[in-house]
Amino acid sequence: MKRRLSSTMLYYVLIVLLLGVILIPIYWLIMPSFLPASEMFAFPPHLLPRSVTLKNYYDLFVTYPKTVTIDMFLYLRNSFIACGAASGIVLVISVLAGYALARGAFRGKETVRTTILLTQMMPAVLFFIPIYLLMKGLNLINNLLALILIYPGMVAPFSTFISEAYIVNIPQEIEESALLDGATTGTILFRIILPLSAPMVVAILIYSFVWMWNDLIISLVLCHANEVRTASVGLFSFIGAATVEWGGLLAGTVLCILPPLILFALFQRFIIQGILAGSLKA
Amino acid sequence: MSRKRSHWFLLTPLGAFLLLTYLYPMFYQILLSFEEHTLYTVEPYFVGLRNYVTVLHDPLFSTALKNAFLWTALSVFFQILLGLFAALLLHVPMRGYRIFRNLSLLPFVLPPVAIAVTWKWLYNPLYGLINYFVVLLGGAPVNFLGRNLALYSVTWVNIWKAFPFYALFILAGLQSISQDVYEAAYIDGATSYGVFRYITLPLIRPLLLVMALFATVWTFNYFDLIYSMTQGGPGHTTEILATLAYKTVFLKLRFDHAATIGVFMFLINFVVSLVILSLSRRATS
Repeated sequence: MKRRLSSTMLYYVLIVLLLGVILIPIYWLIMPSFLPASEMFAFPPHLLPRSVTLKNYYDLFVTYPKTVTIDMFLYLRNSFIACGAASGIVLVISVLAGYALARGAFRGKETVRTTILLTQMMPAVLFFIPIYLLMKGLNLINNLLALILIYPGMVAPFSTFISEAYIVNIPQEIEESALLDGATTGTILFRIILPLSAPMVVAILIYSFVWMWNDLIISLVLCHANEVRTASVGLFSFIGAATVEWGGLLAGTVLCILPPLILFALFQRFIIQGILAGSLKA
Repeated sequence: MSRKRSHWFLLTPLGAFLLLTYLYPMFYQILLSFEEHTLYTVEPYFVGLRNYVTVLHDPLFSTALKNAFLWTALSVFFQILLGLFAALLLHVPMRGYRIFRNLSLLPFVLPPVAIAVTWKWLYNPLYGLINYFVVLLGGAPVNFLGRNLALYSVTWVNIWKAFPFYALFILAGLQSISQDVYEAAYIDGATSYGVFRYITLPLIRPLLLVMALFATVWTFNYFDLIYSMTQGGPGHTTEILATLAYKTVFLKLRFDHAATIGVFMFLINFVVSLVILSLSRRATS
């Protein structure tokens, strides 16, 4: 009995340690962003806030755009536009392809699947030079359209597997009766498959959006001018500055993690299932 | 339209985007590596293997390659090791599993740049939290992002970011092992360690292997985190191939040399990917 108790104690100590390792750094980002400068740079640091202020956020939105041309609001807006549009494209192309892979019985299907898998393993960073030159040739450098064109291909292989894995599990009888009634593939997809696949749609949209939101290399290469910076690039130029304005930087970082955080908190179950399903497939 | 044709038709949009992001860039990159092509080149021309010779003789290339291997090996090893540890801990049927599961993906979904800011703030030699504890324990403040430690410090951040994610997968693997196997072993008088060593580990080894290979590919090319933390510095101590290629384009304006570095990265990735594919084929058959 005594042994039992001590091993339960050990278990909880280890769990708390584990959670501490994950959570303390995130706490140490969010909490200080609400501190006045005097407390932020106190040493020894105050582990709990003694006074709270929104000054860092005020500076970020009001002072910096005027004084140092850092405009976090604009960067966040750019990110929303580029990632939103590109995620929409990802949803369409990966549901179409996922349906073909799930239902189609055609020659070369395995080859198609292997090709998609190989592209999934090739990360974005490998090809940023030719992509940069291509976009330069098309005159799309420093244009959000470049991101909207390039992002989908980078995310679609994975979301195609998510959608294939999901569609395979939808009973085929429903479609067959619709086919007998003369429905086209398009009707089947949009009238039958999509309404049945809300979790899949959510998983794909969130996965793509968060992936693109988090990207640095592609947006750094394609959109580095101030007016078209995404949130990641905007933050990055903040760090690169000679003297780091920690107050504004921490506040900006908190804003930058909010969209993934909120999406994740709301749709966690879908995402974990979707990612587990998609990867176990691969 | 016949059903067969329509299935190919459904694959076309995906194909078009993959062509734009992968296929065309891949061939263009190979072409570039055989050309003289800088920002000022008017008409690129064929130079044979000259770029390869130049890149291979560049001492920075071997520094970056060495760093990239160290960064990849340490990251992957500890990501999987800590992931396995966390998964085993959570596999014990007690409370805590749910909370962990809900929080485990947190570091993984945050933007790498945000993570870089957070850890630069934690590592800060003047007012960072970590140095507070170092001083509290009687040590002198440590410059975590200085020449000697920078590579290890950024590697730790990478481990921190991904190990909970791997833990989640290993946990899924552990839970797919039938409970009967364990019971039989315990009835035969096996110890916990014995069960882990001779039952659990062999059963999840294929999963660990595939994960390790995926992690290798991801980490080897992982530009975003390392670049936003250190930009490859100080003094190239955290330079990996990806950051070197970036600088070669945007500081030296040599598209040809950067593309050649890209070809080397591609070859390394390609080999690892083929290994993954053949291993997972063998596992499923």
